[in-house]
Formats: sequence, C-alpha cells, structure tokens
Amino acid sequence: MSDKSNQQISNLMDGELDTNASKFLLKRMASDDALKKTWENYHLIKSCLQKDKDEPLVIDVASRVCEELGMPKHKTVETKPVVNKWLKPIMGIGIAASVALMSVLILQNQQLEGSIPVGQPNVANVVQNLSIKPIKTNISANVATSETTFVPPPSLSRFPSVSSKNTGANTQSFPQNSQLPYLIIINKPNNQQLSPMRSNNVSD
Amino acid sequence: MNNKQDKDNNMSEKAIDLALVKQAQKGDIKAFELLVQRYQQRVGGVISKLIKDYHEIQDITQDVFVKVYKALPKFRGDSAFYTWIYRIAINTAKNYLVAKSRRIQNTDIEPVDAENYSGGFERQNFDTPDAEYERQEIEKVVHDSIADLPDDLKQAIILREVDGLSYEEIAEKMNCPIGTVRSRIFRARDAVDNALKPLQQKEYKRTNYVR
Repeated sequence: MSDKSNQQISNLMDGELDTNASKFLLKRMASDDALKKTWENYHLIKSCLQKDKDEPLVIDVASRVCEELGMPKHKTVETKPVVNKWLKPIMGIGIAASVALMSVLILQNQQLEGSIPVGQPNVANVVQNLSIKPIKTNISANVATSETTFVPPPSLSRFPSVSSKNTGANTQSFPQNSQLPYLIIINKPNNQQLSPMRSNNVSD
Repeated sequence: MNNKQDKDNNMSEKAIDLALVKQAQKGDIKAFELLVQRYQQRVGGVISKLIKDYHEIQDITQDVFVKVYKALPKFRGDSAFYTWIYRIAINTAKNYLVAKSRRIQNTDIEPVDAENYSGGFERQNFDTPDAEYERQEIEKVVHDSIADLPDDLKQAIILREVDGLSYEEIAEKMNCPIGTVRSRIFRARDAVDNALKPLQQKEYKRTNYVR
C-alpha cells in the first residue's frame, strides 16, 4: 500500500478526487483490506475530532455487520506478502517439471552407464585427449590392482581418430597400484565373444 | 479557473455514497462495508443520545446497518444517504427503548430491589473496563498525535475536521495553494493513522486471544 493510495483516500473522503479516480479507488478499496482499514481510520480520526465528549466511539461494528450479512470476517491490519493467484499453479508445474527432468536425467545416465556398447573408447582417453583434467581418484579395488589394458576397436569407437591418434596402438595401460584418473565400472557383457576388452590379470 | 474545473470534476461526498450504494444494491457487501466504516461513528453518536450503555449502543448500531442493508433496494437517492440512515437509526433506537420498557414493565420487581431500580431508560454506563480502556486509549492517541503535529499540519486538519471548512477556504485562510492543503491534511491523517495502527494491532491480538 503506497502513500499515493492513502493520499487518494484522504482526498476522496473530502470530495477532492476526480470522478474516474474515485470510482477506481472505491473498487480497489472494496477488495483491499489495508486500504479499507485506512479508510476506516481516517473516518475514526474525523469522528474523534468532531464528537461530543460524552459520545462513545463504536468499535469494529463494520466487521460484525458483514459477519451478520454473511461475509466472512476479514482480518484487520495484519498484512501478509501475497503470492499472485496465477503464480501458484505455475510454481507447482515448475517444481513438477524440474523433478521430472531430474529423474529423466538420472535414468538416462544410468541407462548410458548400463548399456555402453561394448568397445566404446575409454572415457579416460577421450577426456585426456580433449585436454580436460579429470579428477584423480584413488582406487583400491581389486579391479585396479593389476595392469589393465583396454583395446577398443576403431570401428566401434565413437571417436576413432582421437583414440588412435593419441594412444598409438589403441592401448592404454595403467601402472599397477597407481592412481587412476577414473573409477572404472566394468559391466560384464552377456556375450563374451563380442567383448573387445582384454584385461590381463583380472580374474572374472 | 483550474480549481473550479477540478472541483466540477471531483466526486462529491454524496456521489461517493451513491456509487457505493449502487454497488451494495447489486449485492456487493464489501462496498456496503465501506459505507458502514464511513458512518458507524456518526450513527453510534446519534444512538448514544438515547442510550448510554456501550454494549447496547454497539448492538443497536449493528442492527441499524443490517436494517439499512435490507432496506437498500428502497433507497432511491432522493435524499442524502446519511439523512436516510439517520432516520432508521432514530427509529431503531426508539423501538429498542419501547421494547425494553415493555420488558421492564412485565418484570416483577421485588420490594428489596425497588430501592436500587433506576427505571430502565436512564443513561447508564455499563462499560466493561476493557472496552472503556480501549476507547479512551484510541481517543488519547488521536488527540496526542494531533497535538504533536507541526503547526501547519495541525491547523489544516483542525480547519477541515473541526471547523468543517472546504479545501478552498483553508487555502485562503492559510495563504497557500490547494495542493498544499491536500498534502497537509493527508500528512496529518497519515501521522495519526500510523500512531493508531500499533494500538489496533495490539487490541486485535488481545480480543482474538480472549475469543
């Protein structure tokens, strides 16, 4: 509620506001409790200054009348920040959409991890070749205890030029007990014959 | 010249009432609430000339406005809205006193109580201490806030509310433009309103807690 609205109320009650603004303000006041309270208080001040000493002030008759006429009693003075009515469903949709998006992304990620076509180039190679510094991870799992060689066939590689250019013989070896750049998730393929990966000293 | 044009374009107090009445006649209770807020003190004042008990005044004032709302379809706007309410208020208060006197006549009074019996219609004050305190507090805040205002604001609001002068007359008297009068009167009202609100919030919380 602005000072401008209050000033307009002050002008209105003295008949000092033009007709169009008055009509607009009356409509606004009817639906705005804060403006209504200002209107009521300005009249209360007028009555206090005009009344005889033995005339009592009547308090809160308006809300009692409205209650009796069937309008629910409105809260006076206390105002809360109002969220637009049209904003509520949009907010709901937004939240639902972001949750759905998150779950789709997680699902896709899981599916990708679970169904990487056999013979995909090692992600480590690609990332190294793209000169992105990967996060170093200490791996103490059995998988990494021995020297592991991955040989992705160029035909199945998503990035054949990259993988062959930098790895020479399309092999990447990791020294024993060294820090590996990635946590390697090995999915055992159903058909062993299709597997292009060879891992020396890694027991099944 | 400009001031005269402005005055012609302005919505008079009677026109404001009529606009609100038209809305209320269509069933808009919120518009009617603005009318009640506008006139509740004046109606209460009229009723208090006949009845002194504060709770009865509140109840009859409420009753008057309920009757006014129900009779709104009959209001054609020939007379001022307040004149019409005033008649309803006087009639309601008189009817209340007649009904009360009948009740009192039909009541058997024991000889022991007769000594203390005061007759019924005399002005009595049965205010609860809380209600009395609340009213006194509001009046005190209003008068104190007016007294604390700067002289120019104080003079403007008193010329308007107590002496009932128009803005044009106040401007002439205070030797300033009408715009300044408007601003001074608003600033005075706003200052008193700001002083009243904390008190009303406190009362609102207290009465709701009691309920």
